[in-house]
Amino acid sequence: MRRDRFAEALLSLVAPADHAASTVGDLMEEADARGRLWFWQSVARLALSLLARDLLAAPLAMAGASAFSWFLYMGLCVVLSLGGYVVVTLVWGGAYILAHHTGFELLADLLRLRFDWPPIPMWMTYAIQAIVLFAIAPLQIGRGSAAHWRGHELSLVLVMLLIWSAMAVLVPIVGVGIAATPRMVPVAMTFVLIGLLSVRRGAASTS
Amino acid sequence: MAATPALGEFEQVVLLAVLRLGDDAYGVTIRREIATCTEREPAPGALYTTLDRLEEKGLLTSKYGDPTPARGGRAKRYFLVTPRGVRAVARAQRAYQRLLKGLVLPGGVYA
Repeated sequence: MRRDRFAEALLSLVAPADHAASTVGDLMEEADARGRLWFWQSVARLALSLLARDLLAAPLAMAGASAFSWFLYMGLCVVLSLGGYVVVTLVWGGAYILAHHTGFELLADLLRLRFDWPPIPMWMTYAIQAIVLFAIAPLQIGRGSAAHWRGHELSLVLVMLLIWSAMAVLVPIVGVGIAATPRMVPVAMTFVLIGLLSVRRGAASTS
Repeated sequence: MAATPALGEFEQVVLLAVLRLGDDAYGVTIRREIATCTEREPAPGALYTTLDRLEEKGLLTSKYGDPTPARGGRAKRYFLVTPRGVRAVARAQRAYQRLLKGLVLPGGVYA
């Protein structure tokens, strides 16, 4: 990625994309005379200034949206975990029937495959929950928030990091028998950010 | 009519620089104009956040020019002071003039 594209991507996390592009254009114009170090110093200082301004502009709205998104996340985790469990159970059951009642049992025996019915193995339940908790649900939260917080992605993720860490202590249940911990929040936030950016990337490629 | 908002010192400097530049006021020229007139170079962070804030207050408007290859195909964002912005900066400058009136300072006596 060229330096100006990276700088533009960085600034567009804290400012509308068209503002970020023109600002990088201004800095490039001056960087010809002042050098690369000045360019990156300016980008970094500008990003921090815009981030601080963004955080101070509407802190209550951002905190409220972050707290709301936690409860949405909890709901999504429950629904998606149960959905995932049902799908995997059906697939597992299908494999069991295939391996024991359709004449494939000889092949299954040959390959030493065992499909016990029910329940599905515990490790598979944990895997479903982990994928939902850490990746799918946060990704969907990020995608859902993208339209409202375009150009404010970084500040939103920082506020969410704080609020979700607090909520993980205060309201830790995020699924049937699943408890959230503050340690899982940074991983979830990474996927929230990926979700936010994926929507913007999609919008940019279609425009 | 909405009340004219109070301006900070740097906001006045930015508004005056944009007024002086007329149709050619964008990030680079505004920074240069401020540096030339005040002998202090504003940090990009301070300048762009102030420009955004002034636009949010309705004291400036901005529009994009055509993209140029010299800027990697990026458009310039040109700024223009609104009538409300002109009133706000004039009011702030009048307040300074009243404060200076009758003072003896290095460089001259203010009548």
